[in-house]
Amino acid sequence: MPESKIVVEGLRKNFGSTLAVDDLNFAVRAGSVTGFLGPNGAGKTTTLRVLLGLVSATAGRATIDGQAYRTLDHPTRKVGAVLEGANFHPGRSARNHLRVVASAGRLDRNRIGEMLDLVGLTAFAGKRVGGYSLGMRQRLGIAAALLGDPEVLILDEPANGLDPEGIRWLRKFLRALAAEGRTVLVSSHVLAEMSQTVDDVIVIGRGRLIAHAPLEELTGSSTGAIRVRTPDADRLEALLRAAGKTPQRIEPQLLLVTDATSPEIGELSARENIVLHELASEALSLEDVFLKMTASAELAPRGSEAS
Amino acid sequence: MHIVWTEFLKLRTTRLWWGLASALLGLSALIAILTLVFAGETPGFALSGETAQRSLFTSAGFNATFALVFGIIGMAGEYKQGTITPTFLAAPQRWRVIVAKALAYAIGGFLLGLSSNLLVAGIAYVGLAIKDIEVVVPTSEIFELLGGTTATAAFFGVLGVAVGAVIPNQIAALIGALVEQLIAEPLLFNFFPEEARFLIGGAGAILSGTPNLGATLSLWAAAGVLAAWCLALLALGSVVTERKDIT
Repeated sequence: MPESKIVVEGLRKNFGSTLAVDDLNFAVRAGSVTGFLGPNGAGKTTTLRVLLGLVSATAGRATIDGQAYRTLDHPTRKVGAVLEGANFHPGRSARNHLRVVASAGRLDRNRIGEMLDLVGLTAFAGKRVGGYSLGMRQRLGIAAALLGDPEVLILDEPANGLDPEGIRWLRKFLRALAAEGRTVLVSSHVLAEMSQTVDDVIVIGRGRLIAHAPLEELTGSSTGAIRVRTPDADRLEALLRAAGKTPQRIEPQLLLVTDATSPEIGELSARENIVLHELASEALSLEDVFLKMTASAELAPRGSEAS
Repeated sequence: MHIVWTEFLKLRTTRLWWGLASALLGLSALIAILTLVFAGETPGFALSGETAQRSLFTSAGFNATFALVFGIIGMAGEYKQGTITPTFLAAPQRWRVIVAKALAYAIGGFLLGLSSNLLVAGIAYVGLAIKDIEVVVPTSEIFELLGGTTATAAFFGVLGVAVGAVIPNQIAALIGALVEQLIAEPLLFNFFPEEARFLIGGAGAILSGTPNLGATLSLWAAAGVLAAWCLALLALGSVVTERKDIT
């Protein structure tokens, strides 16, 4: 078991009668980028805010290096956080915002210029944040989170409001941070953003853990479908059915088979002299796995719904 | 404590402080000048008399209300702007933030009080000299008036922080505080003239030398009453804030 940087144990949070997080357990290993995934309303933001001491847990606990955030000595030197929403005074400039963050956390003020350069905001540093685009605010949030040179980074939907170029930048950026040995926990409801970035994936739905595994394991273990393209689709379909398989006709010349392997289909076609134009196993994307898992979680009966 | 400096840095880097200070100074000057120009037209309110002169020297007497608003925006405004999140991320023991703000806004309120009082005193002395009217209010009393209103403004800065912590919704806090000060307390003064000196506005009026109550207190006792209100409301505000979920 590799060293765990972030540990969430038996975490539960009620907001009035709403159960936001329900007995959630997971650990994030040091030096990894972990995607924290789930549809909107799954409890991701609440979990991250409990982890950061902003929201108190109804039951259970969340720790960083074994300590609750609120008991950390210089929290912003250890943990950098990029949270959703307006966390900036619109009348304050980016540079002044970072000066406030540095002063509040007793951080090295000499890093302010460096961080502004890093996120590409130097040219706008003197402008009031009120005039910033969403993407610029996200960059400023990242600069503020990194100001204390933290070993742990927690980002809540950082890709929101970023254009495709910004998302690519963010991906490379998160990889670079992990390469420096930092631990990154990043939430998202858009899977495509994550599949090229994360090492591990935590999926939650309705406040509960659905899956926690390395990315390859998650996408690899689920059986994909086989795509078969043939001008003789009618005959192949009939033959497959006769063999007890359940092909689906997607297009006039395209079949999708989930319960046969490509060698089986290839050999059958050869025996029957059916010409194949395409025979490909379709690996499931993270998106498919995610949708499949969260959909079944929605359907599953709830065990211990709090009133 | 470094987070007190952080609070000053926050104040220096937005326009709130400068806006409030210039509005206060402008209004104070206006009232002092209007008093100088028109005082003679009200019977029994001749500028040569003590009543009119005392009123002239306390032209900035409303600065405590400015300090109150200043403190409320300083605390509740962090919720409104969302800056409360980075504030509590850097200082997760939230009561420390409240104590730091109380200190910073005491000084801020003091500066608002002092600057407006000095401006008004300057205008009063110069105005009376131009009109060739002798200052009949004893100098020691003028010091007491100006010192008292300045101290009241400092207390009200702290009270504003406390109110903002108890009621984090900025608009609700502002309306609540102003209704309490301008409507509820004056009503209570009528019904309980004796006890009114122990209310925030009553003690504030005594300390700033403009009491209108049935019974009074020494200046030090009035300051003590205000300090007690500050501590009680700060304690309540700290409890509320520690328990609050920042979502």
